[in-house]
Amino acid sequence: MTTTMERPTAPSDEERAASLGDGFESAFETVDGVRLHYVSGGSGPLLLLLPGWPQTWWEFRRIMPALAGSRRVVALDLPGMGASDKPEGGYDKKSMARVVAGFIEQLGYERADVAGHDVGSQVAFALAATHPERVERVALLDILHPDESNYEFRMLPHKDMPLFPWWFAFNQVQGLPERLIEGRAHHLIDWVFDTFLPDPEAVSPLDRAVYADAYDSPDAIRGGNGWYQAFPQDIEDLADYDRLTMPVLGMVSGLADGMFAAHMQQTLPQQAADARVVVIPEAGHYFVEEAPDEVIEEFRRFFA
Amino acid sequence: MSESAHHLTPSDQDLAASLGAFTSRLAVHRHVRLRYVIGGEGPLLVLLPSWPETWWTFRKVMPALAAARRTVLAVDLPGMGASDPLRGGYDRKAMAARIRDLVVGLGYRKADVAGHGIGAQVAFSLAANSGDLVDRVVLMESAHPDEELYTLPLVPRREVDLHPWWVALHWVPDLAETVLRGPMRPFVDLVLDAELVDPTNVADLDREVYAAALQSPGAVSAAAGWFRSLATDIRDLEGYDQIPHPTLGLASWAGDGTVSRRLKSALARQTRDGSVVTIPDSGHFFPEERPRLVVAEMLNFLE
Repeated sequence: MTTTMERPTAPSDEERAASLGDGFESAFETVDGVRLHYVSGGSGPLLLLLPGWPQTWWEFRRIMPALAGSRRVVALDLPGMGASDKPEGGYDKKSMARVVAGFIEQLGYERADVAGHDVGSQVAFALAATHPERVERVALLDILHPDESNYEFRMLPHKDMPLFPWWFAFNQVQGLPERLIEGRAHHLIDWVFDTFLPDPEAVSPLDRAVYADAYDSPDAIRGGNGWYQAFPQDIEDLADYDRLTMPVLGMVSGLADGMFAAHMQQTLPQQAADARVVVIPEAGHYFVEEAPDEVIEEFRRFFA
Repeated sequence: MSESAHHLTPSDQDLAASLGAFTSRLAVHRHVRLRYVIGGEGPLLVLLPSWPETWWTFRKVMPALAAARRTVLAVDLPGMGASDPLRGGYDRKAMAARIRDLVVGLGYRKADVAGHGIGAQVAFSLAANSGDLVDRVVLMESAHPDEELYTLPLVPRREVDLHPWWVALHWVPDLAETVLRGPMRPFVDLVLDAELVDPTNVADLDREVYAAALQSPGAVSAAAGWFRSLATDIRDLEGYDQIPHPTLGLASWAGDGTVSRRLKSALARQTRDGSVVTIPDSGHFFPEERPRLVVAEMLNFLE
């Protein structure tokens, strides 16, 4: 919208993986017929990173090298995301979690530490709830699993509502967003980051080109929207989940004047027996990119 | 349509003439030009259309209403089709004032007023703000915006639930203007086909008419203005008494009966003398899907 500078061309996943150093590379694994793209580096116990909308594995670029010292760090493009397959269905978080559990196994691990952001956090929670034997510890960044509070967001917002996630509504529509956004995802990407980044520079024109490329095709738009279209199913599934017993770290930004932080502080202790919530009040929703050092420090402590 | 409309799209003059004894005209009051189509003789009946359409949404009911000895006037709302945009916002009160200018400017002292969707909201506002000018009111699919609008969730619980996602899209500053660009025919098709029981009820030509109107310069911005004013409209309603005019509500079964139920409860709150008839076997656009039934209900009410 407001960005008038020329848009750079995004390097390939291979080039960007290599740019992280430490032997990071781009690879694929097929699980349950879904070909998944991931970027992997380091060796040791597995730390699996799950990104959110409208992003890809690239949102973890600033924390991956620092965390790869004594462990294997893998950032995965979710089903429907980036270079991963975009199946017709299976975008409820429970089904996505089943694919991620198979992925962990296929990498040769019994268990993994898992961290997810945004939709990735919802998948991480569903994974911990439905495959606790695969999850050592789990970090949930900024967004919790869909619950009844999702329905509190209204089509016409009251003026005192600090956040209006209009895309919750738009992304429900089948067929239309694919046609409207195709080839023009950069408008959407710029709107998202210009709106939600306290410092718009934290996600550069090149980073934005990476994300715009990843959400520019009809299949990619359909896949990403599938995560949103499954919310009612996810909310039903949540009722069947037991309280998590593994260690859980919640990290939450100042998004929506602290509304998300308050929600996480209230809700996460009900959902997990061993939960700690860290608030980063001055950061926005994209704090993995805005405040990577704080995330690295918390992860080193939590996943020690 | 504006001059920039699709070259295959007939002009408003041609469209009006295709209905028989109707002509397309422009009226300018207080620096705002409105496009209207008028025909027939007798008491005035004003028809007000809605998003994402134009006066053409009434093409199937206009000849029969005119044949019942009425002057039938269908007008593009401010910002719609060839009607000018408004500078000070699109709250229903401001739009109704423009319709009042048009009606009074044509020399009428009384009019029956019927509207569909946003047009219905303007019709109500005209009755509330210019009560003496209005005889009877027909509200199709919507009453005046009220607090109930704040209860609709962004994510519908069930697939059959109402999901007017375009309200959210248009409400965000600058967003619709950014996303809704280029040829609008695919957009019009997707919106209409999601609502129509039988997609052939709105033909290829009709869709071209609506797409041309929506892709004329400033059209999306004006349409966004109709949605961005909703909070103002909801506040304005608090200052209105129940309208005393005989009021007929016409509702589809959209949202598994939600529209019909909501129109009934809204008319009970907003009108002193209102009742609702449900139009079966049709979605939101029943003037185009069940025109004969709509004409019969309207004439039964107006006569």
